[in-house]
Amino acid sequence: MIIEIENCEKTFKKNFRTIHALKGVSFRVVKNKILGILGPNGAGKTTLLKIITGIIQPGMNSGKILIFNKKPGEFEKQRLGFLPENPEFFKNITAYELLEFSLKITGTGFSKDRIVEVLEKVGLEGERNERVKTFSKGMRQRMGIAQAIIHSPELLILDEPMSGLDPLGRRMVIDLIRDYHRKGKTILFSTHDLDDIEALCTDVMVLNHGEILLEKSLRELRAHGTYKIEVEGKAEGEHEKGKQVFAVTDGGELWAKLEEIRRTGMQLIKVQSGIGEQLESYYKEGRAK
Amino acid sequence: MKRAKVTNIAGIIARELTRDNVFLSLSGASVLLVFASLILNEMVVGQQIKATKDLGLSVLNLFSLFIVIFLGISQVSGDIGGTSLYFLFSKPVRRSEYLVGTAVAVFMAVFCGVLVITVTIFLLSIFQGEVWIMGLLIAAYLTLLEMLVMLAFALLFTLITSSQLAMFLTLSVYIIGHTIQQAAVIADRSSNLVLKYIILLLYGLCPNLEFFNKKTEIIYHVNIPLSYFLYTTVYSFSYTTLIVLLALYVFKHKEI
Repeated sequence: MIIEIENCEKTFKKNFRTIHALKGVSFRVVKNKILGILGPNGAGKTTLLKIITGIIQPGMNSGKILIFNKKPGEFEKQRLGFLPENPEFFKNITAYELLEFSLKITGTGFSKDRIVEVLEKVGLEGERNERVKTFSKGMRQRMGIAQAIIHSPELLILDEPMSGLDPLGRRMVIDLIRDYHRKGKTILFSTHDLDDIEALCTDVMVLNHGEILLEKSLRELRAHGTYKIEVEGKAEGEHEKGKQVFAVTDGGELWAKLEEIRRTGMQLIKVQSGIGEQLESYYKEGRAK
Repeated sequence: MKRAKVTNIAGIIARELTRDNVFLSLSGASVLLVFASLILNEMVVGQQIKATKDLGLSVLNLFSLFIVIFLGISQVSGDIGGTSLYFLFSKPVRRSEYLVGTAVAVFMAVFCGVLVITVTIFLLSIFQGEVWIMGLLIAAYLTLLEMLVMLAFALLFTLITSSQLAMFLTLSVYIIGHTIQQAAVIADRSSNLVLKYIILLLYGLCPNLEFFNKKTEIIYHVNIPLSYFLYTTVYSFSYTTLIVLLALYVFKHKEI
């Protein structure tokens, strides 16, 4: 088990008001999963990630919180890589120096070639001797990703990883997450983007007002989701010409319909899983509350 | 707390501070101010070297204080206010290692600045026909001891309040610390009991920074006994340790 959280609570005091950031959140993450945490602003995503990373303490009434089977303040942080939301670093330090420092502090014994390799991976090889203060928001985000992966951690936690990135940057993050998953690592990331969840995750959690609204694997969502099948009639007379859309409600029905389409000679244009719509309804429900 | 980690953190923050425009501007301005004593010398007949010493030592003290106030406080408050600490604390870094590392880094920046100004004053003294080294080294040493105490206060105030208020409070400690000895004498003679107890309370709480001010003795070559250096060193280190321990306690329980 990589993460085991039971009844996690957290309150903050702000302007003499008590804010319940997390209200009894419970979930587990096993090895080699990609868990996407979805939720509107103020849902508690960042607070949850900060508790997992050991940056802040959980509330006094929280239950069991174990990361790598240890309490957040006690696990070996070399095993963790974290990208904070809107990452900031020492501004007068160069990209190379910052990664060198990250390697030293994690004490994982990588050689300095690793720094060059990671800078190339995040597309900052040309800026290795530039000071971080000269970086744009997107470049700082890339730098944040670089420091999170420099020591090749087992658990990668990314808070809004796509924020501020151009399409190439987004592609880089997607490839990186997939590559990490292939290597058997575990990834948690928070996002507002439903497409990212659908494209990348094995599991999804929807958070709102500090509570979990939904926690399911994408496989489960697909099995119970509505699929839209778009086809184009091929044989005149047998079917109408032009595009047609069918809707089916579960995985079994989907395969039957696809077989029928194949038999009748219609051209399959696309199959939409409908997960996005399901998540969108949860997301909207959360925002409306 | 691991020494290697404190050293790594101190190293990177020291680099961060010494490359900062504020540090470079302050160092440049201080060196220029020391050189300004040459203009002052034109107005002082017969005591040219004294004016250089006097102005030089004042610049040395004020420059060090500004480094502590502007760089030390803004570094820690910037880290706490932004997400730099998330980057650090998601790695195997303890809060105590960060705070002690930062204190060491700011002290290193002060040390670098003091070194630059001391060398400037030394070169000027040679230019004016007197090789002034011993007094200068004593002044630099006492300034560093004083700034150690001020740095501890600056860190503590940054952790409990806003950066602006921390700057104000640190400056207040500096002013009170340099006047409290005289104030205590006045309070002792005063018939106003409230004023007397307030001053005595401040006298007990605030460091007596006049211990580190031996400008007159240094300029006029009055002998300072060796035991005095031992006493001020112990005083500075004890006070600093106490305040840093308090700051560590506050930081351990602070929500970031």
